[in-house]
Amino acid sequence: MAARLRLEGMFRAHHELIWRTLRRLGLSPDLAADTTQQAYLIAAERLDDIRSGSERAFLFSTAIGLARTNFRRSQRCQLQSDMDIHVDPSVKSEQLSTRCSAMELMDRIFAKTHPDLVTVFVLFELEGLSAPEISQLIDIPIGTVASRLRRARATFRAAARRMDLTRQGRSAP
Amino acid sequence: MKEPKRLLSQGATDFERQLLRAVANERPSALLRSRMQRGLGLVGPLAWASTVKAMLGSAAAKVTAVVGLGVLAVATVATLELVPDASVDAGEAPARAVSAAPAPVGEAASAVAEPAAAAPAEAAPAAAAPREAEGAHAPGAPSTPNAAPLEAASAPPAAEAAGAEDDRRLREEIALLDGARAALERGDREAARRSLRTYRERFPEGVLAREANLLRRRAEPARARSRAER
Repeated sequence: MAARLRLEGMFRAHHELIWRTLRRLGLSPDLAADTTQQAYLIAAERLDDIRSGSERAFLFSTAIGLARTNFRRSQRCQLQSDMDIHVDPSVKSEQLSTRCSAMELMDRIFAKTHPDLVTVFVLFELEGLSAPEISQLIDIPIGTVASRLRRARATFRAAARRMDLTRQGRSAP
Repeated sequence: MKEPKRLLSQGATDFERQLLRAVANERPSALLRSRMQRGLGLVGPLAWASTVKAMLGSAAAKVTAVVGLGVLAVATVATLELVPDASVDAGEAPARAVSAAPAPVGEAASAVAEPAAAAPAEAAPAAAAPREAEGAHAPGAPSTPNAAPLEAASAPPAAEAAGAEDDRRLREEIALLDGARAALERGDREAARRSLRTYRERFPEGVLAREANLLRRRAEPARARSRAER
C-alpha cells in the first residue's frame, strides 16, 4: 500500500513535466503518454531502488531514454483531438487561434533543434528549473547546462525572429 | 554560474513570449491522463504491483482485465479534474523546490512489453457501465476543436466540453466491450459479434480498439479462428 501511495504521489507530482518535455521532443500526445506510462511502470518495478528525493530524476531520465527509442519525428503532431489547451482565463477567445498556431510554430522550431538543447531549454525556460537542478536531473555539469541553454536560446530566438518577420510580411535580413 | 533570467520574465519579445506561453500551457488531456492512470493501476482499489505483473501476462488475460477494469475507470474518469489549474501562466515560472539526485536507468526500455495495454489480471468485471445517449458524436470526428473552430469558442467551456465528450465516448466504448465480453462468457458468440460490430461502426479508432480486436478473435467461430491462425 505504501508503494502504491508513493507511485501515486510520483504520478501526481511529475507526470505533466515528463509528458510536456516529451511533447517538445517531438512525440505526439499519444506517444508521449505511452512513454510517460512506460517510465512509471519501470519506476514501479524498481521502486525499492529509487532513493527518496530521486524520483523525478529517475522518471525523467528513464522517459528520455525511452523517448530516444520511441522517437517518431513523423508523428510530430500539429494540434490534435486528444490535447487540451489550457488557457489563462484572462486570454480572450479570439486570441486562441493565435495560441494554437504558436504551438505549431514552437514544434517546428524544436523539430530543427538538437534534442539535448531542447531538453535544457524546456526545463529552464518553461518548467522553471534552476541550472543546478537541471544539472542533477540529466546528469551533466552545470557548465554544460549553461552552454546548452545559450545555444538553445540563440536557436530559438533566431527562428522566432525569422518567423516574426515572415509573419509581418517582411524578409529576414 | 550566474543564473540567467528566464526569457518569459525578461528580455523576450512579444512574439517570443507568445510562443513560449503557448507550449507552457499544454497538458495531457483528461483522457490521456486517465489512460496512463489505468495502465499503472492507479485507479480503484487495485494493487499497482499486479498491474506490473499483468502487463507481462497473456493477451487474453489483458482483454478480460482491461475491459473489466474499464468499468472501474468510468467512476474515476467522472471525477477527473478536466481542466486543472487553468489559471497557470507560463510567465509565473513554477517554483520547483525538489532537488533530485540522478539515478541509474540501465536497460530500462527493455523491461516493458506493452504498457499501454497493461491492466491487472484480476480486475473483476463489475456491473455494466450505464450507456448514455447515442448519436451526438460522429465517429472519428475530433473532439477538441482545432485552430479554426477555436476562434468561435470560448476557451474553458470548450476544453470542458471536450473532456466531457471524451468521458462519454469512453463510457460507451467500455459498455459495448463489456457487453461483448459478457456475451462470450455465456457462450453467445453471435451477440458478442453484434456488440463488436456496433463498436467498430461507432469507434473505428476507439481507445479500446486493441481490446475489441482481441475480443473479436474470441468471438469468431472456431473454424475461422484456426484458419486465421494458420
